[in-house]
Amino acid sequence: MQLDPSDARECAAALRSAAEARQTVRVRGGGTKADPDEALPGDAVLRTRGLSGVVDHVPADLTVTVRAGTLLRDVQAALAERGQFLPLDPPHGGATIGGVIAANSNGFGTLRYGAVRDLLIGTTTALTDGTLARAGGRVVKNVAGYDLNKLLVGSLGTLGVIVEATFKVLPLPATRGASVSSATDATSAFARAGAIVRTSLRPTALVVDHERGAWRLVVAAAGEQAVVDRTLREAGGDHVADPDRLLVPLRDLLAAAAEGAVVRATIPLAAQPPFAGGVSRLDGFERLVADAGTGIVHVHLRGDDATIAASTVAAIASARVLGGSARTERVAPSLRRHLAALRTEPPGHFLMRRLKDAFDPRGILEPERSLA
Amino acid sequence: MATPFVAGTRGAVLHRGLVDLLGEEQVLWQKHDLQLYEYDGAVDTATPDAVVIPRDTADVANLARFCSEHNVPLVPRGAGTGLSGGAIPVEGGVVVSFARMSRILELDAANLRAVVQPGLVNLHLSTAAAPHGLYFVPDPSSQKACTIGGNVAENSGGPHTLAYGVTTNHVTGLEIVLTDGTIVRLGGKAHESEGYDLIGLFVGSEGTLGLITEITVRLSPLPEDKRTVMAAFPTMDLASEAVSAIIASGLVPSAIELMDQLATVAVEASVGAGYPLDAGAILLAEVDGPRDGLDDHRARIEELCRANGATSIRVAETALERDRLWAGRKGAFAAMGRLAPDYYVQDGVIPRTRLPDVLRRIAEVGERYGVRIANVFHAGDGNLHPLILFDGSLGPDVLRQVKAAGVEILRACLDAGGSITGEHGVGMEKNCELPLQYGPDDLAAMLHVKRAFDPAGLANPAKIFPTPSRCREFSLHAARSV
Amino acid sequence: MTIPLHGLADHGEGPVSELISRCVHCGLCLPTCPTYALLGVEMDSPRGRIRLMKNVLDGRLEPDAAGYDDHIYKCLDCRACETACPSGVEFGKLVEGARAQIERARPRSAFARAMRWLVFRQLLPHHARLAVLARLGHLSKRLRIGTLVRPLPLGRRLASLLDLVPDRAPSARPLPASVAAHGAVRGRVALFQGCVMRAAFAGTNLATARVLARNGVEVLVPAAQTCCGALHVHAGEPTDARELARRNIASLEALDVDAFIVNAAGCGANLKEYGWLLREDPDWRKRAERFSGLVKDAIEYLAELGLSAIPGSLDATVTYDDPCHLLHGQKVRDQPRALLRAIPGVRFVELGEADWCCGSAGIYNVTQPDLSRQLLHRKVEHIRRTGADLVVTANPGCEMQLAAGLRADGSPASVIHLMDLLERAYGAR
Repeated sequence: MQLDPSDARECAAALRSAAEARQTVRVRGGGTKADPDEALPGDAVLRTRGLSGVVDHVPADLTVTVRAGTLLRDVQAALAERGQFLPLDPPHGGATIGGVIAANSNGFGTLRYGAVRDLLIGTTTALTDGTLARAGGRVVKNVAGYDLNKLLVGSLGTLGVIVEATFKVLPLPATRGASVSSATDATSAFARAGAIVRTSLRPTALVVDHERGAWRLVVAAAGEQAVVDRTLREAGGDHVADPDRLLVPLRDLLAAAAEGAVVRATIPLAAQPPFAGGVSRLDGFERLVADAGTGIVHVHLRGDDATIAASTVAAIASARVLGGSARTERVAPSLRRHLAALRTEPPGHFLMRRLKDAFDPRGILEPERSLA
Repeated sequence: MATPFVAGTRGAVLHRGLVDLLGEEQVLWQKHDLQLYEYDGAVDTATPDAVVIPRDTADVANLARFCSEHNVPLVPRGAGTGLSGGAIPVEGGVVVSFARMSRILELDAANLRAVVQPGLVNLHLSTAAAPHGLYFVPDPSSQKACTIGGNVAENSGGPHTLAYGVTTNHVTGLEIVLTDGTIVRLGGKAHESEGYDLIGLFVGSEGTLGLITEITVRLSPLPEDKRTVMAAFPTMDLASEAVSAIIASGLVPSAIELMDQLATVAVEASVGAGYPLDAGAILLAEVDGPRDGLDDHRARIEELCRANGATSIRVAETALERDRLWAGRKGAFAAMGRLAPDYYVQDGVIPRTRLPDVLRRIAEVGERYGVRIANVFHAGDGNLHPLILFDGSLGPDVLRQVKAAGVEILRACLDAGGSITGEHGVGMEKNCELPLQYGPDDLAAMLHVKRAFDPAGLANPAKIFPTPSRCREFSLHAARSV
Repeated sequence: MTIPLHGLADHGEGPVSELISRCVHCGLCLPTCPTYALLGVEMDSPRGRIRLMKNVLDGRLEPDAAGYDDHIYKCLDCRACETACPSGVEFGKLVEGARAQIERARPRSAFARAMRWLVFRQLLPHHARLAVLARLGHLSKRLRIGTLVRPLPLGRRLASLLDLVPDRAPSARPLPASVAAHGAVRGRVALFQGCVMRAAFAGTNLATARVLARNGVEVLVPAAQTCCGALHVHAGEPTDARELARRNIASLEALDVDAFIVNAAGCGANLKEYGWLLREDPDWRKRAERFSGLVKDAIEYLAELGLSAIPGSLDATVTYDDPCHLLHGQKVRDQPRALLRAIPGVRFVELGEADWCCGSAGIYNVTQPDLSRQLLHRKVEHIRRTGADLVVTANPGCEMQLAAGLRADGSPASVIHLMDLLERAYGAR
């Protein structure tokens, strides 16, 4: 069954009807995160693409309010007409705003601009009781009531369906640029990245890329010419005028990798060299892309199922030992069974369970994805 | 909360139980001591039944278990500098003072993190991090005294959060104690943690979800350099226009502050920063970051100020001069003591473009109520701080009038599409006004969170959400039926 | 002679309500308060103490409550909170008023009354008796009396008192009536000798006069002067303090001088507040204000005047500990540092928490020995970190306290008054 609400109220009503009928619901935005076989035959699929369009953009306030089914690339195009942009650069321009929030989908710009949770200032969410709950607002600073926006970021549609969102936006930078240089090993690549993190240069990307024995450091900068020039000078290496030429392939390659498994680890900054060094020696290691300013490291593993399963377990264990966490982001269906045992309950799991039960007492939303 | 709180154990029984549990040194119970925990930095007061000063997480967990067994509310307190009555035990119970849990447990420069106890003074962290070239970004005006635990509870901001975010953007780990005594560790030194963002929920929850016993915060590199510009304008309107012009120009200053004449006079008497006393408004703007281009930014700000009618402009030439300019701004609230015995500060936020209208409405409120209102605020993010001056010794009617004026100001902010609080929190000060901003469905969703963390309702009761007993007009139930 | 029943005050006054109402309880004073740092309770913070005073004023607390006495007397009266306060609350005046109120309201034991009578009436105002005591103290120290009395009742207090006595024997030589300026005369001042200073630190008084003279200042040393009354004010005995103030004003006001020079920070802060002390005395208020207006710390005066003679070179690593009543009481911060930097060869190292009380605080080290010791320990730790050979300060109480702390710690660093250091530097030329 497909649900295609055309406005927020319809969306809430559809959820309420589904809840009353105890009908499980999968939420689908751009479909960029959904695995093909994810929706089970019994599930209803709620598509948010009908909830689209920019509601309000006030350039002088540096805020934009959009309906959740709007494609990120359409939002960026609308903002660009007024010389502004939403500083989020997740993989897949085809993702919807709601999907970006629900999946907490970020790119390399986090170090400079913050992640989804830092830029999102208001939401309206359809709940399974048929109500629309607002949180935050349209002002950039707001501590009235609980910050439900934070709860929604990364909740994968398990608590409600985001129908509208307000973000902080920024003026488009005057200049952009990037550089790429090679490094001898993980230690030196991350040491150079770390040195840049400790300056006030605030690059828009700081990526350590490792594949086939080679280590590369990619640095991107945006803003005033003088600062961009200095950032790239300090980064060293070869300059590239269009940062996207370097960054988009790095970002999308892993997200799009259908073969094998992608492990996404979030680890303390100083744990990156040992982690990267360790996983690069695992069987089936294909590539590592580390956002060196935040410690979010993607690892692509390939090979037969047994190899991938063993290396995935090793990579996740290594992240945990180093004080972080990790999960598989993409994994072939045949591998899921092997990795099921890896699921652990995160700290505060019982609180997450209670939240899930409160927001979705009948458990109809995203049954397979419950974070709790 | 919808259900009125039923008082649990009180008096001598409570006192004896606490002393047995935690020791004489950790418990205050005498009347003259309790009277000193009935206030904070704002105007509301209430006396606790006991005060506990825990030494560590175990003390806090034991205390919570005891209180949960005896149905006693727990009200956390940092330095008591709060401005919304967050630390006031409005339903009685135990005030938990974190004054003796004030250490930096770990300063991990390699990971750009610090692990601290909740009672640590905000500025002490930045002072300790400075030798590593790092600092903690949120800088509430009370940063010399306020605690990190309090900052997390209130999701505090400060002048320099315009470019770099408020407290919630700088917390990656928490250890919390729920009201049933359960200790939960969330996140850590990594950028994110698994599952729902419980840290994001907890930051800014004003003590209503549980007690914080340990915090992991992000440290940021100190800016390479700064430029601070002070501009004087004949009127507040012109100064507001200048703020809009600066924002629209694409510059992202680290701070843009405005002060009106009344505030300037008090502040100048306090620090002698050299603010011109004849100006209708003073604008304070700072740009920081890499040295390259900084002078260019400063020049553009000066230009925009001049184009919008600035009568005089001064650039801080030395660090000392800059510190002095900021000292004035940061001590501005307290300097009101020079103008009147009491002040009541509001914390509304509005879209930046609405500054001139809303400031005019605030002035009208002042005239209508016959009170003087000074304005000192974070213009860059539209966070107003109107300070209503009064003399509380003239009787309770005065405070009632002052609060009524405050509500009108909040309404003006909401009419402009804003919020009733940007950084001070709702507390017990504005909980009756929360339904002006959020409807019953919005509040119902928030209460799901409250019940998940604190089903017994013992964590800082009667805060944030309207209570039937105290909010006759706006109780949740009444609002629902509208 | 009769010993009065309630302290010495025959009439006292409480903290002034207008000063109390200046406090907007913002809490910015809390982290600057040493007792709050040590004890972590609101009652031992400036804001809390003001609230206690307000509660007494509002009738919510009795002025003779044990809790009031305890917390008001745990205050060091270091006035660090005044420096921190954006509202300009004059905490020193408040706490001194509260103490007077307590002395009036709260009956003291016969022993406490006797001690007060002895110290405040029979010793401090009489420099000859103090001089004898200073020599006795020095003798006791050399005979190690402290070790003998420590086990006796009250012996511990006496012993810790003796710990404070300087190693150096007190000078018995009186100062000359005047010291002529070297070279062109740039100023003319009268030196206030103090009571403890005169008895135990006469050498510093002489050094002060000489340093000023070397810089073109003619220094008069009037014989007719008495204790400034600071300790009386701090202990809630304003009536006695007023009497001493009147005596000092009467004997000094007619002198034709640019300034009355003090080298003891505690005395200086008090002399500068004679106007406040005598505010309700119509015959004396104006005279007191005029007198106070001419009082200057030697450091303040010399830094404003500027050095006309370059000191000789001293090869030393030096740090400076701010006396509370110079820094917080008189707002003199940069001047001593400037003078230290003017001495060739001196390597100046800033002391951590230099703006914190060392725990001396008048007679605090005797009345609150435990808290005092903790503060001293903290201070000595900071001094150790500077690696300084010389710890410079500008108040006799601090000098004794710091020296005792460093001695007990086995530190090689020595403590010296800034005026003594300058005199030594001039001697090295």
